[in-house]
Amino acid sequence: MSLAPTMMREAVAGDQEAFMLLVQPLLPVAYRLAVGMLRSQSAAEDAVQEGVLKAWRHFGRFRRDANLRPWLLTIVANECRNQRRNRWWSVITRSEAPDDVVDTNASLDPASVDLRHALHRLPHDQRVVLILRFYLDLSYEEVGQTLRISAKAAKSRTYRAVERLRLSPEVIPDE
Amino acid sequence: MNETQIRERLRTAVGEARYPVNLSSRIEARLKDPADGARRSWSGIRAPWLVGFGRMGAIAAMLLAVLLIAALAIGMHAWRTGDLNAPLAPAGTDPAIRQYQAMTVEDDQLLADAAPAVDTCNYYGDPKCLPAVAIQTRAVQQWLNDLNASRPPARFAAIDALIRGHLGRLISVNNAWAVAYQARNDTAVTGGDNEYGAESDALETLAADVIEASPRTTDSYQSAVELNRAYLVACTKCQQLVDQDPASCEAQAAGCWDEIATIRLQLESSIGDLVWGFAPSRFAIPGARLQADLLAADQAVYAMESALKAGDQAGLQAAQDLLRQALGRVDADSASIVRTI
Repeated sequence: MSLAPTMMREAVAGDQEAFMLLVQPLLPVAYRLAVGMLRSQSAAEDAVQEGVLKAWRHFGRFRRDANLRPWLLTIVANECRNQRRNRWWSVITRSEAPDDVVDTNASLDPASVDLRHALHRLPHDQRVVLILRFYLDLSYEEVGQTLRISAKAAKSRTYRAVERLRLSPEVIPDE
Repeated sequence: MNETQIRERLRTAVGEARYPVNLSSRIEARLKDPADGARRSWSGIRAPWLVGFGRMGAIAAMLLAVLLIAALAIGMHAWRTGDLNAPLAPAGTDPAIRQYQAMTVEDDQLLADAAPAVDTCNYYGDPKCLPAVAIQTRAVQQWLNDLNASRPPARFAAIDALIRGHLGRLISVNNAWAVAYQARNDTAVTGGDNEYGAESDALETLAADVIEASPRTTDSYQSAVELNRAYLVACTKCQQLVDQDPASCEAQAAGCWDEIATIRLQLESSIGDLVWGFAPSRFAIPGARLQADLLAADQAVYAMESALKAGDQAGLQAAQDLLRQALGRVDADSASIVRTI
């Protein structure tokens, strides 16, 4: 007999340990999402921490028959959006680098550096669809669940994002 | 490029993410902390730093907090209006650039904050709907007013023009949407939603380019210029728009809208990319020239679009000529930057 329904009941009722047992296996994928969405690992860690705390606070409203993974990923993705919108610091702390500024992505080839820059220049909705699909390997069905759109809409958003990223999506096969 | 290739390229670019060993324990610790882990609304939580003080102490502490917030707000305002720029700016930073970036942060945030109310606008007759759209339009107008009241630093001149264009179109889209909503015209409402999405996506991207702008090295700048030129050359639809007989646009059922959207995306992406990582000082002048020519090409595309909408064949031909000339200059500008040793 699976322990998940019991843990789910206990977590919904306010048992923190049961909640942690449920979300623990999902944290690596949530962290991976945050790393893809944000520029730094520390920002990704913050986004996951804040996301899990928000998930806990709202867990009383979680439908027991729903899938926990897309639910948590939705919250973490929103947290990443909030982190990026909090841009005062990026302006306040930025100073002009000299002409010989050292690229922090020095270990990457120039094409990958440019692709990473291009990824971060995408609007949130397009960046998240690419990360969910190509970095987390989710199906379009699960991408749709996470973004609360249909699988078809997830696929078409992915296509537009790839086009915007200028990766020439000649072929995006059906699943 | 197929899905597997896209996946590989993206993974290489983002890099591997090793889950930090202590992240789970840090989350558990925060969950156990009553300030973080209490499952109730924030309004019901008494600030932990007030626990142990009497009512008067709590009021005094609250007042102090309000004063601190007010001081911060005044400081932010003064900084934005330039009064504090000189002492705050680190050595080597141009205050005008930082002020323009700060203004963009604020206006972009204002617009982002106005969006959720409209997102919940799901049925005709919702009394909150039109006021929410009006708030959003005011946020767009505020951004436009701020741009009108300031002069962009040279580095942001081209992108400033792009942002103004998108803001102006966003206001038109919102006004048309409100009319369609009142008329319960499903097609126009959906069309407006799509147009709004496209314009606000473009704005969000351009704002990020301004906010995160930083200098490139010489090598990196030359590579970026070369890459952006290559995108334009490799863009089949762009070439079609430049080469084809304008009359064929009107003859086609779908006009040339797809080609227009594609070339605009390429041109705006190039301008944004060259702002996001801007020219080192030795390329400041040719870099500005390149941006101006990219902008001229973009404006020619808009002129083509207007002429196409108006059925103005002569205007379409003239705009296509302008586009061809501007792209020729972009090519020459790019070549001269890339060839410089």
